[in-house]
Amino acid sequence: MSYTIEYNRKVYRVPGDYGAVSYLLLARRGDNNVFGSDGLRCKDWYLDFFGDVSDFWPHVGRNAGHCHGGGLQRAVGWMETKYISVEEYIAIYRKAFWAAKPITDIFSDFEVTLNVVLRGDKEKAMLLSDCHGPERAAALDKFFKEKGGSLSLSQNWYGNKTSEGFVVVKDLEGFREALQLKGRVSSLVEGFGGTVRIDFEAIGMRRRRRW
Amino acid sequence: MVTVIEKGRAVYVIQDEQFSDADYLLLVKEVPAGHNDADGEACKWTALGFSWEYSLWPTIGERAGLCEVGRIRVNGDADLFNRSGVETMEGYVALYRDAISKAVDGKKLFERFSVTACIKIPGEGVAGVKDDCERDGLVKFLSEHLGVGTVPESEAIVPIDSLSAFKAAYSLSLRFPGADNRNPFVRFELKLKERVCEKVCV
Repeated sequence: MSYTIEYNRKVYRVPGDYGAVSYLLLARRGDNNVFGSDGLRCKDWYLDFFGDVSDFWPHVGRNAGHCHGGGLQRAVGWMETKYISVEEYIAIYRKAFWAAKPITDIFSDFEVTLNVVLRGDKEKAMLLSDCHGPERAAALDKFFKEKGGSLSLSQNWYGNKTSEGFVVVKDLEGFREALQLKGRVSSLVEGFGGTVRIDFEAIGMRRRRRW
Repeated sequence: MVTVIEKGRAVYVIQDEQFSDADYLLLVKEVPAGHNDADGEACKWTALGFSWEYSLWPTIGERAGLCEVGRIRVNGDADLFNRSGVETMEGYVALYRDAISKAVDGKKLFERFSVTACIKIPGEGVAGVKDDCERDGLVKFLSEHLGVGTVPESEAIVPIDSLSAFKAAYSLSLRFPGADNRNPFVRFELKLKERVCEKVCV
């Protein structure tokens, strides 16, 4: 049976308008059946949740429900996994929630990048100007120019031409803008087989297995 | 803000001879916040899930989260200021663990509840359903339970009196949840029969 393994999690507090606080949850997850070239299971940090506390706990509860049938398990050591109960999963998240850090700490913990891939065909790569919704495409273009990034032409495994680019987000304003852009632009781009995603690469947290 | 008050729950277990895993039917009795009539029109039994046990838990977990943030009150009074009942996720999960461990045989469902499926077919009728598979499922269900060839034009109320019919109607209700007025929708109504002496809620 295939299942998801949760390795780690981090919760950040994001201050909003009028004293409101939102929460950002990053979870390090991977599949039990997917291995990398180093012989270890592939795992990555994902943006699991961003929103109000009233939506945070229902989201955690739904994930906790997947633990009951073993669809979501905990990592133990390098290769082992452990079944956890719904209550144990909730307890882990209670601890993580109360240890929530201010959002500004995310930039010392992770290198945050906004990645955009626009997929074209064999002849021509898709450009931002080809997207439907010129306002949204212009907003993405403006963000790339302001942050010093650009979309460059490339080619994927199947020989289709793509235009790809990434921008390193270094401050809270940029992060907010990247989140908004992801929400606005993903429907625009994903319809054509492209992707818009925010990647989190942990700084100084990578451990290598000693053989 | 409290949106729903959960008044009770009941779990039925349906063991199919063909399969080793049993299906669980999870029912909850809810009333929208602000309604004081505990057993009136506003208070309804609804089916939360009908599946293997482990498939029910994500739904239970999500509701536990809603309970934690105060959008579901459990066994509480309709008075929002009465701070009684379960208020934590752990408490809510424990409540459902208990309910599932005391699951009642599915055959008793129809002794306690009168179950009807309300099917509405607006616009072009059954022909308006674009997906072949979904249309065939709907026509098959209607012809089996209302008689061959009597597919209604607009609305039908089908009494459900067997577990197989219940299973078919439940899967139809998932396919036709009725989000808009253009597509057909199938909705359940579970009403507690009169003179039910035994305790239904766990």
